[in-house]
Amino acid sequence: MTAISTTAALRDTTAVPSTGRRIWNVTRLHFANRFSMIALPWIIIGFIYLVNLVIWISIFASTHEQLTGTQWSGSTMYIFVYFGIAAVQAMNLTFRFAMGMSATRRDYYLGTVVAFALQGLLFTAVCTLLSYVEDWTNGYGMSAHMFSNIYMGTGPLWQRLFTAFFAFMFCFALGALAGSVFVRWRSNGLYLLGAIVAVLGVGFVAVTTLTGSWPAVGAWFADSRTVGVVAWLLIPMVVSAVIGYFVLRKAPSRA
Amino acid sequence: MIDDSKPIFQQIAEQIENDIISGALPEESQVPSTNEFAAFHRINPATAGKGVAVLVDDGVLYKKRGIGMFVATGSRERLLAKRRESFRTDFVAPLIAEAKKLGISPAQLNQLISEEGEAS
Amino acid sequence: MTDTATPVVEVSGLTKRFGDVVALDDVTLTVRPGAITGLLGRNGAGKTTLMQTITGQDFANSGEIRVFGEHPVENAKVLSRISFIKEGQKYPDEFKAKHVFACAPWFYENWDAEFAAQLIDDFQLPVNRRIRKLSRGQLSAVGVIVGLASRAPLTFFDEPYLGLDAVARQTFYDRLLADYGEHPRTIILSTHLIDEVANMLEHVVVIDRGRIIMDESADSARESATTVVGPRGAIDAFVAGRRVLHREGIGGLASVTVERLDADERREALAAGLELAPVSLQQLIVRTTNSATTDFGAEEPSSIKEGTRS
Repeated sequence: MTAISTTAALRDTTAVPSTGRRIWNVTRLHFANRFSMIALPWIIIGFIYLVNLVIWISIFASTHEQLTGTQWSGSTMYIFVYFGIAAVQAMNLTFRFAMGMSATRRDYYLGTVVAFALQGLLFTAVCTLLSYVEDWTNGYGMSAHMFSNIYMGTGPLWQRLFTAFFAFMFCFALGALAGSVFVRWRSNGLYLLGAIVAVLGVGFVAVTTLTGSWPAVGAWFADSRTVGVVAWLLIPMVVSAVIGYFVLRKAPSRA
Repeated sequence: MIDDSKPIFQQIAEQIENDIISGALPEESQVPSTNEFAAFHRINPATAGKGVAVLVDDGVLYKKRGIGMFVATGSRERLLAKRRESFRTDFVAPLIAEAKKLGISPAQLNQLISEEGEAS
Repeated sequence: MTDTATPVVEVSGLTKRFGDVVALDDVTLTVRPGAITGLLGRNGAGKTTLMQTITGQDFANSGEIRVFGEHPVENAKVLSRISFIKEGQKYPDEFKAKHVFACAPWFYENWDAEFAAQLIDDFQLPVNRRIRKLSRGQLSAVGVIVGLASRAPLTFFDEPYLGLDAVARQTFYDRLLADYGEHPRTIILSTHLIDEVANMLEHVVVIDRGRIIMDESADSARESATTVVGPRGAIDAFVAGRRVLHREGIGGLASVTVERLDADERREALAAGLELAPVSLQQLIVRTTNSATTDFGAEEPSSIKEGTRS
C-alpha cells in the first residue's frame, strides 16, 4: 500500500529559545498579573506611610515640636517581612503553572530570582529616593523619618543603595528557600525548616550566653553598623539561594 | 455511518466506491479531501487517508498534484465487475445459508427469486 | 501522516513507586511520531504517572526515557517542544484566563493566537474572569485551548476534557482532528471515555495497574476480538479450546467474546448458525482489562442470568 501524504507533511521546525530568553519568560510570568506582584507591595507601603503621616501630623499639630526618635522607626521592616512571605507565595503559585508550561526547574528558579531582583531594585531605588526627599525636607519639616531611618536611610548614596538592596535580597533568598521547601515538601517541610532555623537560633543564643559573649556580639553590631551586618548577610543569602535551587531541582510537579 | 464492523479505512473506501457506482461521484470528478472525510465522519485523518490510498492503489482514484484526488475513468465499470465477483460470497452464500436454516429448498428459493425479480 | 522513522518517545523498563504502591511496573513503550495515540485505562491505572515521567514533571525510580532521542528531565531542548495539558492544572491565584493566554506564547514557539481566539469563541470562554471563578467546564476549556493552540510537536492531553459537557467535548474532538489534519503532530490522548475517541485514534496503548497490556494500531485492536452469538450449545462447541475474553448469556442464548478469528473460522461460525458481531474498542478494553485483573477461568466478570453453568 503506497503511503499518501496528508495536506501538510509532518514538520518539526520548532526552534528552542535561548537560555536567556527562557529565564526572562519565567520572570515575565511573575509579573503577568500586574496587581499582586507590582501594585500590592506599593499599596502596603503607601498604607504604612499614610498611617505614619497621620500619626506624625497629629503629634506635631498638638505639640508643635520637632519629632524625635523617628529615625529608629522600623516601619519599613514590614516590607521585608512581606517580601519574604510574598516570595514563598509567588513560588508556590507559579511553580506548577510554569511546569505546566513545560519550563525546566532551572529556568524557573533563575527566572524567579531575576524577578525578585527586579522587585528589589525597584524598591531600593524608590526607598532611597524617598530617604533623600525626607532629608531635603528635613523630615517634612517635622523631623519625621520613615525612609530615612537609621538602618538604611542614612549615610552616603552607595551605602543606602547597598544596604537596602541586599537587605531586600536577603529576605527574598530566605523566601526562595522556604518557597522551594514548601513546593517540594509542603507544610511539613516548612515546619522542619522553621525548626532547623529555630534550633540554630537557640543554639547560637545558648553558645553566646554560655561563653559570655553578648558584649562582643553587641559590639560587633555597633561597629559593623547596618552596612556591615548586611554585608555579612550576603553569605547566608547566597547559601539559602543555592540550597533552594537544589531543593527545587527534585521537586515533582503533581496536580 | 462508521461502525465497528470492519476497519474504518475499509469503510471509507467502500463508501467512496458506493458513491462512484451510484453515480454520486462521476468519473473525473474531484473527491473530498482526507481532512474533509475525517471531519465529516469524525475519524483520524490518517485513517481516512489510508482508505483513499487503498483506492489509489486499486486504480479507482488518482492524484492531481496540488489539486486533489479524482475519480479515474473506467473505475465505475471496474468496480461493478469487482462487486459482481464478490456478489456470490457476500450475498448468495448467506442467502443459501439462511434459507437452509429456515428449511427452504433450493427449488423454492429459485421460485422466490424469480417472483421477487418480476415484482420489482 | 505517520512516519515510521525514529520514535518520538521511547520508554523502557520504567518503574515508579509511590511508597508501597507501584504506579508503573516495568513499562516499555515506543510512541510513533505524527500519530494520535490513545493512552487508555481505568482510573488509577497509571496513565497520568506515565505522562508525568515522560515529560519530566515527576521522576522515575528506574528505567530509561527518551523523548526526541534525549532525556527529558530538565532538558529545555526537549521540553520546549512538549505541551502537557492535565486536569487539575494549577494556575497562579488572581490569574484571569487572559493572563494564561498571554503567557502561553512565550513558552510555545508555535503558538497560534488566531486559532486561540477562535477556540475561545467556540468554547465561549470568559477571558476576563478569574481562573478561580471559572466553572469546571470553563477551566477544562482553558487547558484544552492552550493544548490545541500551542501546536507543540508532542502534545499530551490527560483527560482535560472531563469537565466539558458533551457538546463541548465534541467541539474539542472536531477542532483537534481538523487542526491535526492541517498541522500533523504527535498527540497522546488519555481517557476513559473510549467510545468517544475510538475513531480518532490511530494507535492504542492500554495500561492496567501499571502494566502495558495492549500496544497496537487501533485497526489491529478492533480485529483482535469478535463476539459470537447463538444458542448455548452451539456456542460452547465453537469456543471450546479458544481463549474467551467475556461471556454473557440469557435464557438459551449465549454471547461470547473470543480472540481474533480468521476468515475460515468466521465461515465456520456462520455455518454453525452463529452470528458474528464486532467488538467496540471500549468493550474490548473493558473486557481485556477485566480479564487481566481477575483470574482467568475463575468467576466470570459479568454473567447475566445464566441458566445452567456452562
